Amino acid sequence: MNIRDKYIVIVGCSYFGSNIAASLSEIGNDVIVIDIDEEALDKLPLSYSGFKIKGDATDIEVLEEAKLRNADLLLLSTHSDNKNIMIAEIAREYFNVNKIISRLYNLDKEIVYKGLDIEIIRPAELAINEFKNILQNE
Amino acid sequence: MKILIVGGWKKADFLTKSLLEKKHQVVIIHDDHSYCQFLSRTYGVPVICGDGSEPYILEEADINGYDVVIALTPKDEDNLVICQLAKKQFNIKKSFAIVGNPKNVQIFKKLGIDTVISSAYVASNIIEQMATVEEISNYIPLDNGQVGLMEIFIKENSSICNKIISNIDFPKEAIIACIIRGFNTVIPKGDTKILPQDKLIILSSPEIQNKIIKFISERSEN
Repeated sequence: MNIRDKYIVIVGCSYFGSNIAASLSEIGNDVIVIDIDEEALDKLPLSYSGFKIKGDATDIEVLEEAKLRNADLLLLSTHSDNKNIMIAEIAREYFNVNKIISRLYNLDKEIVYKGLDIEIIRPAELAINEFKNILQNE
Repeated sequence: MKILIVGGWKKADFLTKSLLEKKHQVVIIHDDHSYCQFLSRTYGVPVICGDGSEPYILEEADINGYDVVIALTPKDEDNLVICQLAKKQFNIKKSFAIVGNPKNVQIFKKLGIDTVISSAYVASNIIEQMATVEEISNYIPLDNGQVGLMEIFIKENSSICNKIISNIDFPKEAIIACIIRGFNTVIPKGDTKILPQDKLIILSSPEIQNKIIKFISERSEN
C-alpha cells in the first residue's frame, strides 16, 4: 500500500478491518476505527496509533463525530452486509467521501450499489478464485 | 393493490387484516417460524419464512408486478435494503419503511424510500401535545410532524365563540378544516358561525400551534 498522510475511517473492527487499520496507521495515515462493540476494538494491535470510537455507525451523529466529511477513504468492514450498504450510501449521499470501499458477502445484493461509485470487496468471490487457483496449480 | 409486508409483529398482523378487508392482495415475509404459521393460519395469505433482505427470499415471494413494499423489521438497515432490493431488482414502485432512529426519516427519504415513519417520533409527538396542552383533545401529526391536525374544543367564553368565520382574524398560517358539531360535521365556509361545544379540526404547522391555542382560548370581553 502506498497511501500516506490520508484521513481514513474504518467501520467494523473485524479481523479484516483491524488489520487494515493497523497497517494503514503504521505507514503514516490518520486512522479512526468505529465499532459498536468495545471488545472488538481491543483487537487492534499495540502498534495502532489511531483513534477509536465505540458507537453504531448507522447513526449519522457517530459518522459526524468521526469527521467523515474530511475523510479521504472510508472502509466498511462490519459483519453485516446491510449495515455496510446503509453506511456506504449515507457516506456517498451526505458526506461525499472521495473513495468508499465496502465488503459484501452476499453477491446477490450487489444491485443496490449500482451507480453509486462504491468499490466492493467480495470475500466469496475471492475465496472461489483462490480455490480454483489451488486446483489449477496441482 | 398487491402489497408485500416484511417483518413486524403486531403491526404486520393489524396491517394484513386491514389491507385484506379492503380487498388488497397481500404476501408476507417474516423471520420467525411460529409467527409465520400464525399469520398463515389466521389470514390464509402466502407467508414466506426468512430474511426479507435476502434476494432469494424475495424471489420466493414471487413479487414481480407488486405495487407496494412495506418494511417493518426492527433493524433500520434491513428495512433500507429490503426497500432498495424491491425497487431495483423487483421493480416495485412504492416503498414504505419504519425506522427506529428518528434521524433516519430524512436520510431514508434521501436514499430513495418513498415513505418513512419513525414510530418513536410520531408517538412522542402525540403524547407531548396531548399531555402538555389541555385545550387539545386530539392531535395527529402528518408527514412526520411537519404539519398536524389538532382538535380544539370551543368553550362558551372563547373569543371566537358565536362569531362568523369571515369576521374572525384567524392566524393566516392555519385553517379550520372541519367543525364537529354534535353528531354532525360542518365544512366551514366564510359565513359559518362558531358555536359553543363545537370541536374545531385545525390544520397547521407545529410551530404555530401555541399561537392558535392562545388565540382560540382567549376570553371574549363580554
